[in-house]
Amino acid sequence: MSGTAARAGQVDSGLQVIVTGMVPSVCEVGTGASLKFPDAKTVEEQQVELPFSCNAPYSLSLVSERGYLLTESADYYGAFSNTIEYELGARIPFDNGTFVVISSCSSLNMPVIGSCGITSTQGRTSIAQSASLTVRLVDKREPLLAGEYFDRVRVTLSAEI
Amino acid sequence: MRTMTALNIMLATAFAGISGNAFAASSASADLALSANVPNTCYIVSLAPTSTPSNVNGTSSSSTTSAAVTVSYQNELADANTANALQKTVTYGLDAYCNYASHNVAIKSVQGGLVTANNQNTIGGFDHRINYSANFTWGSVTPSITTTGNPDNGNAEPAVDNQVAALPTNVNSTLTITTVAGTRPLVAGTYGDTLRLSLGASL
Repeated sequence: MSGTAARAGQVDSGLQVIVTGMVPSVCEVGTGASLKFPDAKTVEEQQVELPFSCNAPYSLSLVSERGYLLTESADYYGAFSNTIEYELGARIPFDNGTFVVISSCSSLNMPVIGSCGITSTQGRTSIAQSASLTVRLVDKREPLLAGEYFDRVRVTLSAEI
Repeated sequence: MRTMTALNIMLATAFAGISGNAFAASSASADLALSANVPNTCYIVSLAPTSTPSNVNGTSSSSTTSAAVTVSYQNELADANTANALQKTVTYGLDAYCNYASHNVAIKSVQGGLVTANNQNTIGGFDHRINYSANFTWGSVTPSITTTGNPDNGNAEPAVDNQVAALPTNVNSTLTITTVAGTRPLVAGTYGDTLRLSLGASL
């Protein structure tokens, strides 16, 4: 902001006030989500929405705790598998109407940080958006042990400075 | 939607709190919990005869949950001269699995032997039944039956054996059926029985 221009012969006594500020880069994400496959033999793909917001360009990381769904069944015996691999996809929308699709991350690679996600949104932001996460179970050749199987995927949003 | 509403408020609060300080880039995380259930399942992959005597036909058909076996002894089950029952053994291979602990395995002879529908009165001693044994090896359990029905009559006297396999089992198993040699002539006729094998349920 600056004062008005001085008239001829008038003493210039204007006041210039410069206001500066910094809006912090903030990323927030919802409280988490869950996907349940009631029958892993028949339902192979499910989708969930995850609300999030980043007011600055950001990176997104998807990291699996185990790299597969695992059952803790103590009855493992013989030619059965006690793990279920899966593929994770994601659709990440931006404020300018564009989006990026992470087509398929193999769960086996996902315990490694950086193996699945977006390294940079290249200047794009996502304020009050919702990401679509899709999990597809991978068929196994061996029969699966009966039981409950679990894994956890950590979704991390990091604003770029 | 409530989540997003709360999220917007959080951001507004953060913005209101700024006052020209330097800020580090923000990072946020949330967990996606994945879970899947694999139900208790017994599945028949295949069933086929592996050993049959000459002139005895063994056929089978199976689906994922049931299987049927037809053993056709033709005229081979009775001695051609004496008409006494002969000992014959047929063997089937069953590729199947049950993926849970403590599952039932059962075998049952519905008629309690090979019996004939020919109930005509006879003079003298004839057998109307051919007893047999059936043994099924299924991992650590071996359900088996031996029919002991009265050879003098063809009334149903079922023989059954129910067992419980303690562990999930995925094996190539064997079903062996052996007829018992008779000491008396069989009355003429066609003999048959239904032998049931069950994985996952008792009989």
